[in-house]
Amino acid sequence: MTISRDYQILAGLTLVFAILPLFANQFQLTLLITLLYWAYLGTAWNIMGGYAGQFSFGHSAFFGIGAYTSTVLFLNYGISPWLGMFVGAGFAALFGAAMGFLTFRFGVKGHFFALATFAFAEMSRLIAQDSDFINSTIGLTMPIIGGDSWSQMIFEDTKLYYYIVILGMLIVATMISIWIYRNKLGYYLLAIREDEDAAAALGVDTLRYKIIAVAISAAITAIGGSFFAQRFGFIDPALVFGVSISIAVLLRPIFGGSGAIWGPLVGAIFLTPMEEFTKIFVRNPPEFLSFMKGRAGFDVLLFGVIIIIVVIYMPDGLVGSIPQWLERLRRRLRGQSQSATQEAAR
Amino acid sequence: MTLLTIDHLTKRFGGLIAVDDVSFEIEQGEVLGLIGPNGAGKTTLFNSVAGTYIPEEGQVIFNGAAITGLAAHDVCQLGLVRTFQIVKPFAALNVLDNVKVGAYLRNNNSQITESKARDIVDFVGLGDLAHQPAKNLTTAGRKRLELARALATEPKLMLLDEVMAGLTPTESQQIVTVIEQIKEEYHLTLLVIEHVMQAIMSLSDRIAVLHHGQLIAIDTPQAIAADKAVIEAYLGKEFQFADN
Amino acid sequence: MEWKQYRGSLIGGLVVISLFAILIYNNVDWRACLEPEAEGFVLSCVAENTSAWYARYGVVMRQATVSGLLIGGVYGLVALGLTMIFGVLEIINFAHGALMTVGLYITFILFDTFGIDPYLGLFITVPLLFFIGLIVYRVVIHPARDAPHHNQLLLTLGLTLLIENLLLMVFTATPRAIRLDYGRGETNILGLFVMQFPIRIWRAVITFDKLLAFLGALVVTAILYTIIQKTDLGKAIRATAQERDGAALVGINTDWINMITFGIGTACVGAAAALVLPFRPADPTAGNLFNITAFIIVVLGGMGNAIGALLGGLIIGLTQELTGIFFPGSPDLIGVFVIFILVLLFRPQGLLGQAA
Ligand SMILES: Nc1ncnc2c1ncn2[C@@H]1O[C@H](COP(=O)(O)OP(=O)(O)OP(=O)(O)O)[C@@H](O)[C@H]1O
Ligand SMILES: [Mg+2]
Repeated sequence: MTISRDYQILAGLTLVFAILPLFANQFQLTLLITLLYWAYLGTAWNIMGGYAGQFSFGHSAFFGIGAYTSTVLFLNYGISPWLGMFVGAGFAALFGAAMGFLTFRFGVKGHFFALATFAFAEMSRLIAQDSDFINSTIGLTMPIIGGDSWSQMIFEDTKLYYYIVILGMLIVATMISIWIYRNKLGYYLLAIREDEDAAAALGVDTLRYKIIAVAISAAITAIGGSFFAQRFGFIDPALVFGVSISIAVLLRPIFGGSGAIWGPLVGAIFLTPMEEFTKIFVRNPPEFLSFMKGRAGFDVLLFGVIIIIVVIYMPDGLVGSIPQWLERLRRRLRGQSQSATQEAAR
Repeated sequence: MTLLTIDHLTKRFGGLIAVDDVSFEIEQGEVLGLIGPNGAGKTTLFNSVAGTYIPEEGQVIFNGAAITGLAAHDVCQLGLVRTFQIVKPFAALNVLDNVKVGAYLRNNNSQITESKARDIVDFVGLGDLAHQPAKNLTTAGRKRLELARALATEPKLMLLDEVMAGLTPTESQQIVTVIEQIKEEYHLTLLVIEHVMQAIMSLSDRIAVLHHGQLIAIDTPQAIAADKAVIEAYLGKEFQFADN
Repeated sequence: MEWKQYRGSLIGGLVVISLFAILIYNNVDWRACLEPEAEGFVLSCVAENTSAWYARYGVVMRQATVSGLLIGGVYGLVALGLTMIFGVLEIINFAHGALMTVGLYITFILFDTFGIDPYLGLFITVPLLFFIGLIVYRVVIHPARDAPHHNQLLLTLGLTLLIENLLLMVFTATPRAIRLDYGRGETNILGLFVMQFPIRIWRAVITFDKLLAFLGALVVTAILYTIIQKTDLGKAIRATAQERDGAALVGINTDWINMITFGIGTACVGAAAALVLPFRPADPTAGNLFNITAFIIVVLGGMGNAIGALLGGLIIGLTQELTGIFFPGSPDLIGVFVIFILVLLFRPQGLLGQAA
């Protein structure tokens, strides 16, 4: 029953996103690709940070591993990114599982776990910067092929193809997310998030399931990293292993509602256009704000403000908070009408 | 047949010996009450049996297998489940989903799990609240939820830690009824910690008394009520009848 | 005082020692001594080789040691602020470094616009950062006091993004450095005596500004330590850190203590900022390095432990400079992160453990 409803929503959304590009110009298409891309990464983060409640502040490690693996395999060995991205996913899953094992085994929890993930991500960045075989700080550049190639996943002329790829990725990721949420794995992850001791007492092998969550999340994230490398055409350690990726990845699910299936997508639908418009705004600010012209930082500053507002005023994200707001509104309206009838009665 | 053997079990916290060389057995189908003043080590004993703590000395044998030092989830897998004195509901999940977490232990199929959980929720009397988030439950509701979740793991032996604490006499009485029903319907063996004397006396076949970590008596309720050492252990602390 | 509190420092110390060991091992030619045609005993050959190496490279190592210890003092001060905030509020203040960056820019403006000497400016920077801390607490931290831990981490992360990018918009990314017109060559110390800078100790160079930063950090740490240990306010802070409800019960306004502690913690980075600006230019992310090191030091040194913070600071300073020899070039934190993860793994209980 409920299962089919989630998939119905997914089917509806797929239809909408399949039709949208027909009406989109180049700019809007780019915006759409970016939107789906962040929704995809947010969905990956959500499995670990939202469902299992293991707040990751270091997803750039998985992202970077994915980006570098597929790119190195492609550039050095001519292996198609379609294959390479799964190799990267495997590496990232292994890395995530190892990291999870180490930290969980020793009982690192809560915000210390978040800091540990951050440390692991920073470490992988530093190691990447010092590794000559992946070109250290200089980074790797995709070749220019002068056209579109499905087998190499490089589309220089037709951006729509990237859109198709990322839409497909998002659909698959969402299906995985729905499946997890509605099955044993999801129930166990939520139980772990809510109370680990209680979960263990009910027979949940918490260590094992936490590691599984990290590995799945890492693998999906890594494929996102490969997509980034293909689309952007260039990667370096600061770009793909940097803190900004870790932050950006968790921003959408947190804003939309972490722990909810549709949180990351909702978050991306709100935040991505906002980000683009602030960029445009800064490029061409109105007269009285002209000092902002060309100044970097405003978009990220806004993110900072959004995070603060979300944490203080809507800790459950949009998906979680809107029903609460509606409820409160309804109660207030009803309360008013009640007091109105009381007035009348008197 | 002996279902659980606790053999010279000792658990220390630094210098404090919370459980001190305790040995006793529980027979299949029995309800064993466990009483003792606050801080006697009852919860610690549960924790040492159910895998939350690793005891320093002694053995626990459950259903023929040594389970000393096994992790909590493995112990549960073998059919020994415990509830928590300080209830630990999965607050954001609704009642049914809470119980489903327990029910998933014995199968992976969502439909079967769902209907099984549904039955248990009805059985413990939370049917009307099945779709309420657990955080909205009253204390009595939360205690029932603890029972339901534990029951869903299809245990052979259930350790209940003060499922009546903080309840009104009426609510306690209702829980006693539920526990009795559980015993009937599911053929369970129970080890029950309780401060509410009336309830534990009527519920138990035998009662074990813990004092300063030591087992000072284990006998039928009538014998325990007359036992001098037991009464002494409670000196300065009135027997709690019904209320708590 | 329990030795357990210093277990983290011990682990850190071991890493430092092994760094020294690896450094020597990698650079001394042992194998030559094992060759059959090697002259003399193996041991004396090794000793000879080692001393030869030491004569050539020892100075690099000593310089790293001295620089590490000097900057380590400042790290310790920054960490002290963080550890106090953690001890009392149980919040990991990710914005600690960003607030330090604010301190750097304030010091810079004082110097650049008003011509106020940075060391004199301490008397403005520190109170100013204290008040900024109070405001930040009231506006941002307080409303989320009861939020889950990771949300509080997120909150201070948002604050970091806000501060960093506000600074980026106002000051751009261009580093802002100041140059003192004293402290090189003959320098008159408070009219008391004259010293030659940079000093050479043990053939390592110590510049005036770094020495002053180190000493200043020690002085501020000592003052703070005295406040925490001796004054009523300090007692109230320690009581709140140890047992919040109990403190509230005996009439301590814990909310007020929260705010004051956040202010004091922020004042620490104000002092650190004024002390390092003469040799660390301000840019919008300049505080990051101090932020990360402070976290690790807090993990190392134990919660609310002033001595632990100082000790941890010195260890991290040393580690960083020594790994700098292994990976020349960018300011390398790898060794520091290794320590971090080791400590996280081996004494997570110490993280949550006793405060003050
Ligand atoms: N994790 C722990 N660390 C240190 N001491 C503990 C720990 N858990 C329990 N204790 C101590 O062990 C002793 C026994 O505690 P326990 O909780 O088992 O008592 P209890 O019989 O369940 O009491 P109550 O009736 O109050 O629930 C107490 O003195 C308690 O302070
Ligand atoms: Mg107890």
